[in-house]
Amino acid sequence: MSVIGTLTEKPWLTPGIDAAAIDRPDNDGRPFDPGIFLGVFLGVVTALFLLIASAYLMRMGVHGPLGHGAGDWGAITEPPLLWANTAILVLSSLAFQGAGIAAGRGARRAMRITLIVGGALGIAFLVGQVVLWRELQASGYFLAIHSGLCTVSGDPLAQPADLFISGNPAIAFLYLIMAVHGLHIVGGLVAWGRAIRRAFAGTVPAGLARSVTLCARYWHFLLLVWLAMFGLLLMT
Amino acid sequence: MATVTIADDLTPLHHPKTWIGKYVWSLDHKVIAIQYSLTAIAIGLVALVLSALMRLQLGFPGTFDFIQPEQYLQYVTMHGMIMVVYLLTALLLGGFGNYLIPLMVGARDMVFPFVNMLSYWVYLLAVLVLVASFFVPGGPTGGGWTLYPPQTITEGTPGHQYGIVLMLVSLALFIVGFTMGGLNYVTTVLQARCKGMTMMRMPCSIWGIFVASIMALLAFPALFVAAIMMLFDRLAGTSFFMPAIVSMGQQLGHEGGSPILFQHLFWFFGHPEVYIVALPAFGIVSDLISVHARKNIFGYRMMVWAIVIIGALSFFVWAHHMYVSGMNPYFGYFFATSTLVIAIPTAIKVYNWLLTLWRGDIHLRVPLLFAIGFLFTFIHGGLTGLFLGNVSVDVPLSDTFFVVGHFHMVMGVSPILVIFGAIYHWFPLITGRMWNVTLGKLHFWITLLGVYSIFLPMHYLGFLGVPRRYYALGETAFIPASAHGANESITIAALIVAAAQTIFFANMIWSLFRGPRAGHNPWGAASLEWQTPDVPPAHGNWGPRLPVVYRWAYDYSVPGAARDFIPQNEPPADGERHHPT
Repeated sequence: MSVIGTLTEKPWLTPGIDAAAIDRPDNDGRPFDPGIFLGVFLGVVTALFLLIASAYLMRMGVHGPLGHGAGDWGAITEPPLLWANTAILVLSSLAFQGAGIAAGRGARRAMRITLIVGGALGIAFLVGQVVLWRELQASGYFLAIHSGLCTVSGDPLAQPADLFISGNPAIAFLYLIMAVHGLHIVGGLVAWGRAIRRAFAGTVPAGLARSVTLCARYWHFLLLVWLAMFGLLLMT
Repeated sequence: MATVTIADDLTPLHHPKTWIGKYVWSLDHKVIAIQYSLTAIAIGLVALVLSALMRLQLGFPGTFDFIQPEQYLQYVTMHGMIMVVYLLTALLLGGFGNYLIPLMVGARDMVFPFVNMLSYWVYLLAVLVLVASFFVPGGPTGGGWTLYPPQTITEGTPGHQYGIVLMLVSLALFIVGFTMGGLNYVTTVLQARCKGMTMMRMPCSIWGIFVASIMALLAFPALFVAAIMMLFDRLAGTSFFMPAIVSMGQQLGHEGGSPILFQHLFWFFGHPEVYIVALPAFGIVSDLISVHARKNIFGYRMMVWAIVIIGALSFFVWAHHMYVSGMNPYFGYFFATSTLVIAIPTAIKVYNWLLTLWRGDIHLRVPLLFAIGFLFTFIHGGLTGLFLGNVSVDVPLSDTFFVVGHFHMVMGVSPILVIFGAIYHWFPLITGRMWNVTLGKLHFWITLLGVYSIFLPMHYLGFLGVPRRYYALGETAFIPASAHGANESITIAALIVAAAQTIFFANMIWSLFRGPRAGHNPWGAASLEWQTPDVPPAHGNWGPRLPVVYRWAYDYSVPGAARDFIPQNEPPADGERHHPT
């Protein structure tokens, strides 16, 4: 039933069991479909990254005429590794798509292989991001939380650390986006771990195809978010 | 013929085998609801004590040596943040949401019980981190509940060292915990309704909680982003929000950050937050009025639409909190308009509550008294909101006690009155016992008259120009001596109201053990939560078979019916086609 149809129902007129009520066919043996749960969660993540993007644009100064932006925004040369990592994530998403298709066809071996490849590429992306982070630090864009909190003697929080992500706020956003997106990936890897466990169980558990499909959906979303964020980073 | 659905299968319920499994690491939504509620009330009592300390300082400045300006600012900040986020949001959504959703939609539990349990424990962790900030060097943050940079994280503000860090971490944890719960509330309403329970047969309480949960899921990320970015500014030396600034004669390393960016993010969360608290209260109060006036809610569809419209509009009004922030003045024009537009669906709700009472078979029981009390405070707070929604009126009233009076009336006292009413209403279901009515009424009258004595004079103080958040007024020429008298009387009223809450707790504890047995459905309510085979409902709620719903939740005083209510799960009688009204 459409949203309008739902909202215009006249409940006081209809004693009896409504024809539209429940008995959903898509439960696939499980009590409830986690697809809706995932959909709502991805909505939350979308809101999160949209807000980061808004903050990015405001700080960047696109709203300069409205009083935002301090003119301290500087272009950054994207590290080549950023492109490589993005390519790895694309491949990871493709592998998950393959796993979803294989699961739908019941090709268990192909599904297992593509699932492992997809997850491994996801981990590779995460490792790549860490390497990128270290490269940034090596080129002088320090995180005070690293250089300050861990090594400065005395009370670490009492005074500003010596080294900042100072100067160009574009770099600060790069760190922020990588950190939040990294957390998003870690969440995906947890779901992937559950799917792997089920895929390698002795018997085929009910709903495996569904969970692989949802895993793939999560990964595509992950890629989409990264591409949007990558686009922002290229805008500097 | 009876049908067996997948949801009728009791095996996935994981019945607990130990005391700890039943009451501590519980997966049962009812136990989780009580855990949420007790934790929220406990931390809320801390905030109540803080407000009493604040009032002591304002009413009798200079009398209490242990309240210095630093402590005063910390009391203000922690009182505000605890009340808004850790008490009201947690109690209305985590507490009432958890208890009522599965019972009112006819489900056995939340869709993902483990995630639901995790939600509570992360919330508890957030509360503990917040409480820890009282014990770190420098104490909790004193930057005001809005946590505006740059002053919140610069030297001179109490708690700028550790307190603010713990506050931000605690907020981030709260949001993670809430997201787990909120996802459950939304998916349970969408997926786990029993047979016959269409969306428009859900009681208004569920509509309020459902829409508020969606709003919270979309609004809390703004606070999350703001908290993480401020943590970066505080710990990693970034300049998201921090401009170039000289602090204590020393140039800080920050430059170029935008404090207004923080304000936008904060209020993009902050204003919907008002309705995240208000919408569940709107829903619950609709049900309280309908049940105790023995009349179907007037304009049910309008009530549902109004909830949805208010929820949507509340995302377009955030900058009315920022008229004096220095943002572009043209914004004010748009945000004043959108703010005033919200008055339309809100007024519809108020009229419908009044029209539900009109010529109803009113039983002035304690829950209904609190519901009617809510109507007074909410109308009062709503009307003063019209003043503040207009830029030209808001500017002189900004940061005065008028604002304090307004928001306490509309989003402090109003939801709290509904919460009290709701606790009195559902306590017989939760515990199987009734309250002592005399003590309940005493609690109501002291609380209602008391809060008016506190917050009504604040509006006059605001007109006089008395600023909020000031530790002491000192020798200020434009503030007359009468303002000091008003402050004293407000403080006395506040202390009386705070003390009167012991009546509530004493009554609750006495009733829990000695209250008369409630029996089945003592209020004669039609909604599904009162139709469980056991009172209090057992684990799994519904016994061997899920209920089947045949009608809406408001069949009260139906002409020709045997009783003055028809439960939702009662099949239609032969020949019954339409609601005779």
